[in-house]
Order: sequence, then structure tokens, then C-alpha cells
Amino acid sequence: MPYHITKIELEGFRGFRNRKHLQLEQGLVIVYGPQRSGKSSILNAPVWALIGSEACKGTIGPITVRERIEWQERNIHAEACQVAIHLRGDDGDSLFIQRGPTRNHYVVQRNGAVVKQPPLGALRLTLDGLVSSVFLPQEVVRAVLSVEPSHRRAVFTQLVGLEDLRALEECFSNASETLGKLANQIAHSIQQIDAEIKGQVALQKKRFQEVSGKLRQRGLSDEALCPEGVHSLVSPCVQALMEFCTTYRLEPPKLPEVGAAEELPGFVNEVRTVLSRLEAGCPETQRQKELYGKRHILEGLLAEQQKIRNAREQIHCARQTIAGQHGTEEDLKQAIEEFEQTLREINEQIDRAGKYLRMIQEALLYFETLPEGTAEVECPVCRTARVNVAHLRLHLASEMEKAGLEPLRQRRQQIERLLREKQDALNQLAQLAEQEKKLEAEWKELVNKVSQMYGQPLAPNESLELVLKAMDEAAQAELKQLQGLLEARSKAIRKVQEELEVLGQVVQLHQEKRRLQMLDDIPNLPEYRALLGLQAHAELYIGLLSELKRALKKEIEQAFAVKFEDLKEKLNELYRRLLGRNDFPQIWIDADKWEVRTSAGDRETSLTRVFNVGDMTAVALCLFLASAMRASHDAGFLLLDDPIQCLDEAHELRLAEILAELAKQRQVVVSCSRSSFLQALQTAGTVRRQVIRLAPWDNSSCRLEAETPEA
Amino acid sequence: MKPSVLDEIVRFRQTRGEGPAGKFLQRLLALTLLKAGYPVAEEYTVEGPDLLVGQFQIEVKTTTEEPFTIQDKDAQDIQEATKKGKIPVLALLECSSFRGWTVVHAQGLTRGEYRRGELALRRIPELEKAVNEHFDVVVETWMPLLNANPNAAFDQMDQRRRMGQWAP
Repeated sequence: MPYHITKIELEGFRGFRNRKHLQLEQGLVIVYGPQRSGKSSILNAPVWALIGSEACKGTIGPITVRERIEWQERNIHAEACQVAIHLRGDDGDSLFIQRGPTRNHYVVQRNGAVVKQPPLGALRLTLDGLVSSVFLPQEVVRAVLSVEPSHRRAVFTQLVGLEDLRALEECFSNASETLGKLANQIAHSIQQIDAEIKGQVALQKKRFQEVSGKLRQRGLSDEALCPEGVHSLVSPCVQALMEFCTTYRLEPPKLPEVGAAEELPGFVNEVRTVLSRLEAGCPETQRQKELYGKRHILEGLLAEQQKIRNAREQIHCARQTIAGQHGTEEDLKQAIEEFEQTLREINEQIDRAGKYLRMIQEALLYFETLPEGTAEVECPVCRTARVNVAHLRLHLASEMEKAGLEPLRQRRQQIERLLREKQDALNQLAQLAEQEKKLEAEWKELVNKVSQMYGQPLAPNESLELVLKAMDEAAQAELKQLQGLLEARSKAIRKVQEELEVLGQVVQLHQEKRRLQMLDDIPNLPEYRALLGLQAHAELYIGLLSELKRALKKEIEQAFAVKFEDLKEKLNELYRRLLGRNDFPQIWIDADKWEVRTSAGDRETSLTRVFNVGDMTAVALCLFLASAMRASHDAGFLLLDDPIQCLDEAHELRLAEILAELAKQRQVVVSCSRSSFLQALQTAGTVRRQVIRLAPWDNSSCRLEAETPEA
Repeated sequence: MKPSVLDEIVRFRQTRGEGPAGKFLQRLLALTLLKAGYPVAEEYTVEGPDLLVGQFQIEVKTTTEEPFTIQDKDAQDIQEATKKGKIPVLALLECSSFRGWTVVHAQGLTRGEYRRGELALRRIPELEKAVNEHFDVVVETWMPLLNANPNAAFDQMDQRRRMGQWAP
């Protein structure tokens, strides 16, 4: 039972910020106004009321419904935004659909009673049905003109009602893209590890080749590492070692058996140990070591002997000097005694002079006690007449001191100095005697040591130095004798060592090969296997989605062919009417390249490449109208948003005729901004029609022409 | 693929160039299949399939590009194989230590660009496993000869394959 729209209520929706009621008549409803006056807002309002979150998928033209809804949401201006449509069925039933500021908030009432049904469901409508047979937005017509085949495909599939399948295809694409990103990340990680391994392998191979080259220079190849090769590698080394033992009458060592390349490192180590042990245990080496030690000791003893001699020489010199200055020790002792005696005498004289002085001082003190002028005498020192006591005391005292004490004191000082000198010399002689005693003890010890080394006591007149030198010379001679023997032995050792070196290189080669094998095993490590597993899973899902996409693409193509076949007749009829050419050859849409094609004679031609904008607009329009005429839902209205676009006036007239005819069967709401098309719509056919005129946009809110702008 | 084998292939590619190396790799794959016990029947021709192995008609791709391209000629070969009742197969070499050959059913694949991963669902596990298990050994066996004298190796490889032998 088809429903037509009787009223649209708008508030806060897109251009309509204030509450607005629009009564709509049955038949042809023309929404006329200049650009940006709100025509599209009126035509989009029922769509907003009908599709909400449950329909946010698929595309309407080149943009998705989600983008469209989101764009409309951004153009909602009040929290109290409401869009409501009142619909009336042919049998008088009423339907009320209201949607609030959020997509999920809607009310559906049938005959005043709330029904638990989504708005689209109330009209037995699907998203496919809505976009293919109810609502024709401007961008659909524009998208037909796109040079991008995928855009044309989107529009054509939408216009025949395959939007749901297309939406599913897009879901697969999105999922595939997301998984693809994940797989790329994993692949990137694997690539990095792979690059690292590749680098390491290249490096390792270089090392391997270097060692391999060294071996080749010695006439050996990598094959030497096979069990037979290993045996022939080891043989020269063992042989050289045995020869060495035979030559020097050493017991042949027990060496480990080598059967595989893995046992080589152990063998090489063992031979090295044995060799150093044999070398260390050889008697010549021991003797050489002893002689080197002996020579070292002799050098020490010679140095010690020289040191004692030097010290003795110094003592002798010091004695000579003392004797030259002071004579013998006896002379010194005698002189000291004499000086001490003299010193005692001088001291006695000084004591006596002191006593005399003290007596004079006492006499003078007595004179001082006498009254002034009592004793007027001539000064015996300066011959002054009639001097007083003080003058006399002064002169007498100084003269007496000068005459008696001073020479005594000077003499005493001189004797004291001489005495000190003599005593010092005597002490020095005592110290020298002490040092000499010490040196004597050291010398005895040295003689004992040398005697021990010499193996017999030294004769009393035997020179220690000569003995030491003789011993050193003997050691040197013995070392020289040993040298020849040792050199020959070193040669033998070198031979073994050379063989060992070859073996060492073989071991290195083996190790390098092992490392290379280890690198080869890295990709098999569990953690990397897990990463690969993850990648394999991601790829598997991507593969699955790709296969699904491929299948779906095929399904869409087949479904399109079936649907289009159903619409082809009607499309061509409408197209010929719109063109005003009944002879125009049949057109169809090629689902391979998504082109509009026709046949001229036996040849097929792509019209997409030769049609102008108006022609393509006409195709899209006719496809939509054909689809709308075949529709079987309850939406008894068509919403065409500015369908003429690039059509000329003649086309406008013919389109107006078609729409007027269609308006007899269902309500047709069409918006336009061109007066010629308005006139054509107003005069076409005999149908009820209504014109809603919109005033130009005044930067506040959309309004009808009859309304006055708000302050 | 073993990293050391991969290193050999990369070096060989660098010295010989992508095209000639591709021919060698195609032969190495044939010998690998032979070693794995598959009957490799057809001669190599410029036109037509790369390899015919039992019921499989194998198209070999040794390019390192990702995504790789299925050309018109390849797509045509795939279609013809289906018509003849053969199973069209695509063998893709990936130069990675972690991957080697990917062997997939090619039926229904049309001209266009493909990523190796998106063909995962089409894998032929037993064939892929057989190829990857034996390829390393075959490369290690032939590579010294290939490096030393490529032309002689080329002839010898064909000769051995005709005799049903995989080793020199």
C-alpha cells in the first residue's frame, strides 16, 4: 500500500535552523529556489528520517551513506533537532516517522500508535530500494560522468538496486586492507630479520673463503674435512711429534684418535699441551734454565763484592785524611788530655779573676755609701783629677775586666774548639772501625756463598773476583754448547707447530662452516616459525577475503546483468522519450568496463566516451526512473534533487512531461533552481501540482519566500 | 630456503641478470620436482607453459617484485590449461630466508597484479612442501657447476632431466 508524504517537519536540520512545517500535496511537488536556499535540505529530510545508523553502509553516488549521514549530523544545529515526516496511505492509513538529533533515536507511529519497526521497514523498503527507486541525490548524476570506472560501477550498481552487495564488497575490501596492513607489518619484520641473516651469511661466507684460500695455498681443499681427509690431515702432525720424541729419546705421548672433523679442536689442543710439556721436561732445557739462573746469581755476587771493596776504599781514604790532620790515634788522645788540662787551668784563672772582681765591686759599693766629696781622687784610668765614686767605679771595673778576664776567655774558647776537633776525629775513627767490622762480616758471608757455589773453600790468597769471573765464564761456555742442541730441537718443535697451525686452520674452517650451518638454522627457530605462522594466518585470511571479493565481484556482475536485463526495455523507452528520438539505437551498460554502450550496425560503441554531460545525465536519470517504476515497496514518493543538471530546455520539457505522467501514479518531489524547468513542470500534463518557493539564503536560516526574514 | 642457498641465488642473480637467472631457476625447479619424485615431461618452450609435471601445468615466476603481475600471455596459458583438463599452477619464488617457493592453483586467475599473500588460499601444500624440501639440495649440488661454467651446466641440466636424473 503506497504512502505519500503529507507533511515534513524540520527543526535545526541543515539550513533549517527554526521549526518549519511543510505541507505536501499528492502529485507533483516542485521545490523551487535559488542555490543554497535549502532545496536539498527539504529533499534530504525524509531520507534522514528514514535511514539512520542501521543503514550506515553502502554508497549514494561517490560518497558513502555513512559520510552522508555524518555530514548531515555536522549540519544539525540544535540539540532539539527533529525531522519528522507524515505519510498517508492510499487506503487512508497514516504513518508518522520522527528522528531526533541522534541517528539512533527515532519514533514510528502507524495510525497514532507506536510500532516497533524501523522506518525503512515500515515502508517495506531496503537501502537498495531507497537509493535505487526513491531518492536521487545530485551526486549520483555527477558520478555517472566520472572517468573512474569504479565510480561508475558504484553508481550503476546502486541505480539497479545492488547497493547491499556493494556494501558487503566494501566491507571485504576494508577488512582485507586492515589485514593487509597487519600482514605488511609482519612481512616488514620478517624482511628485517631476513636482511640481517643475509648480511651475516655473506660475512660468514667471506670468512670461510678466506680460510679456505689459506688451506688451498697449502694444497688442501675443503674436502679435507671428510673422515678420510681428517685422518690424512692429522698424520703429518702425529709423525712430526713422534720424530721429535725419537730424536730426543722422549717417551711418545698418547694422542686421541681423530675420526671426524668435530674431534679436531680437541686433538689440536691436546698436541699443543703435549708439546709444551715435552719442551719443558727436556734436560737440556732444565740445564739451560739452571745456567741462566747461576749466571744471574754470579752477577749479583760480583756486584756485592765490588760494593764491599768500594766501601773499604772509602774507609781507608778517611783514615788517611784524619792521620794527615791529627796524627795517630795515640797523638789524638794525648792532645785531648793536654787540652783538657789547659782548659782546667784557664778555668781556675778565670775563677780567681772573678773573685778579685767581685772584691773590687764590693769595695766600690762601699765607696758609694760614702757622702759626696768624701774621697776626691784622681782617676787612674783617664787621669782626671777629683772624680767622684761613680766615675771611679766605672773606669776601674772596665779596666780590670779588660786586663784580666778577656784574654782568659778567648784562650778558653780556642782550647775548646781544638778539643772538639780532636774529639770529632777520634769519634770518626771509632765509626770507621765499626764500619770496617761490618764489612768484614759481609765479606766473610760472600766468601761462604762463593765457596758453596765453587764447591770448595777458597784459598786465603785466592781472589774472590777471579773465582766469580771464572765461574761465569764456565757457565757461558756450557750455554754455548747447549745452544746448538737447543736450536736443533727448536727446529723439530717448529715442524710440529707448523703442522699444528695447518690443523688449526682446518679447525677454524670447520668452525666457520658450523657457524654457517647455525645461520642456516635460524629461520627454523621456534620464535621465527611463530612469526611465520602469524603471517601465514594473516595471508590465509587475506586470501579468503580476496577469493570472496572475486566471487562477490562476479556475483555483482551477474546480478547486475539480470537486474539490468529487467530494466533495459524501460530504460530505453524512457531514454528515447527524453531524447525525443524514437529511432535512437538501444543502449546498455557493459558490466566489464562500466560503460554505456550501443550498437551501430554490427559494431559496438562506447557511448561513455562520446556522450556529453547532458547525455550521461539523461542515462542516469532514466535508469533511476526505470528502477523506480519497477519498484514494489510502499514508498509512494520519489525525491529527485535537481535532476536536470546539464540538460537543455528541450530535455527539460520532455523530462517535465515524464515526471508529470509519473506523478499520476505516485508523489514526485523534485527540486530545481532553473525557472525554465519550473515553467515546464508547471505546464506539463494534467496533474495536481504544488510549488514550494524558497527565499535566498540570508545567513541565518532557510525560509519560504512568503516569510519575512527574522530579525 | 636456507640462508646460504639464498645467498648463492642472490649472487647468481646479481652476476647473471634477472632473465638468464630465471631460466636457470626454472631448470632447478624442474630438477627439484624430479628429485621429489614427480614426472617432469615437457621440454621448455618459449610459447606455452614453463613446465608440465603430471597433471600440473606450471607457470614459473621468479620475479622479486611484490605485487607481481600476471600478464595476458600467462592468463591465456592458465585458461588453456583448464580447457585441456590440466591443473594450472603458479610457482612463485620468494627470495627470503623464511620462504622459498609458493605453489598455488592458478585456475580463475586473470590478468592483473597479485600479492603472494592473497593467494594463500590457493596453495597446493603437498607440491609446495615437496619443492621446498628438495630445492636447497638441488641448488647446493648444481651451484658450483653453475658458477664455474654456466653454459655447460645449462646443457647438462637439460640432459640430466631428460634422463630422469636430478644430479650432475
